[in-house]
Amino acid sequence: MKNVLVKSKESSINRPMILLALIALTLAAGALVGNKAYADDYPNGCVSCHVEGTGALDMRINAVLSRLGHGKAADRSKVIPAACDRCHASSGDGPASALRNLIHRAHYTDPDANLFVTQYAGSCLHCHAMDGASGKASVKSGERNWTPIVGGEPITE
Amino acid sequence: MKDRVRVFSLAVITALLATTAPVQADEYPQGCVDCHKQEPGKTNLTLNALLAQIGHPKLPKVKKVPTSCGGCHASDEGEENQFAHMIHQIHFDVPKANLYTTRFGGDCLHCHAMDADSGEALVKSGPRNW
Repeated sequence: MKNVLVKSKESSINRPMILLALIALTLAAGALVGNKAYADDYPNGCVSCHVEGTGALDMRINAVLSRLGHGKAADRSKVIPAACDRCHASSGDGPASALRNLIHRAHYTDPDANLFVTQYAGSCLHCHAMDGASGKASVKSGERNWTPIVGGEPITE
Repeated sequence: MKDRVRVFSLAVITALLATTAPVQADEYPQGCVDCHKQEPGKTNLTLNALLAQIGHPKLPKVKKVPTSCGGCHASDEGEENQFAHMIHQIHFDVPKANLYTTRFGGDCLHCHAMDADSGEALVKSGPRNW
């Protein structure tokens, strides 16, 4: 009988502690989910994802374009992707195809195998920003993250 | 012991299947009307019900949503009061309190579709559900 009473007392002490722990865990999980939903991991768009990496393939735009046989235009581009508009006007009037459709295709074609979708969660908001107050969707941008090479020499600014 | 191993294995397999589910499955192929609907025992979220609450004129001519909305609401680039901006505002303003982001995942691809072949981002549409 004594044992039962002791056990019962322990339970009544532990129950609030367990409840508190559960509430704390729920709040922590909520905070984590909330932060994940609204924190911007890619505030500068292209250059926030396309980085040199650590030992892996160089994914900076200039390196990727070089592997694709793109011209040296990347060395003349300072703000990405705004500078690309020089040739790839989104109106479709430029000397090269509209950047918007080109970039959408590069990131969404063959979604079951496309790295943007399969490895990087492939969200529109990686590249676009939504100003909820005005309702305007925009394209994020950032300064190039490579040193341009002109005439074989790296140019430092 | 064998049962525990079986249960653990089943849990691992289920978790793996859940994480490798098709990323591109579209739960809202018709956009607006796939979310804005009336479900038994729940608040009526159809667009005509919501719009009636805010004093919007009736919608006798609306057949396809949101295409028909273009009859009054322009979405031309450069327009001050673009329909697109208004819908974005409704769904993304104050994201920490907005039901669209807090309860419904708030993803662009709920309303938009990506045609990967052409690279065009489209607005989904569907027949009215009222």
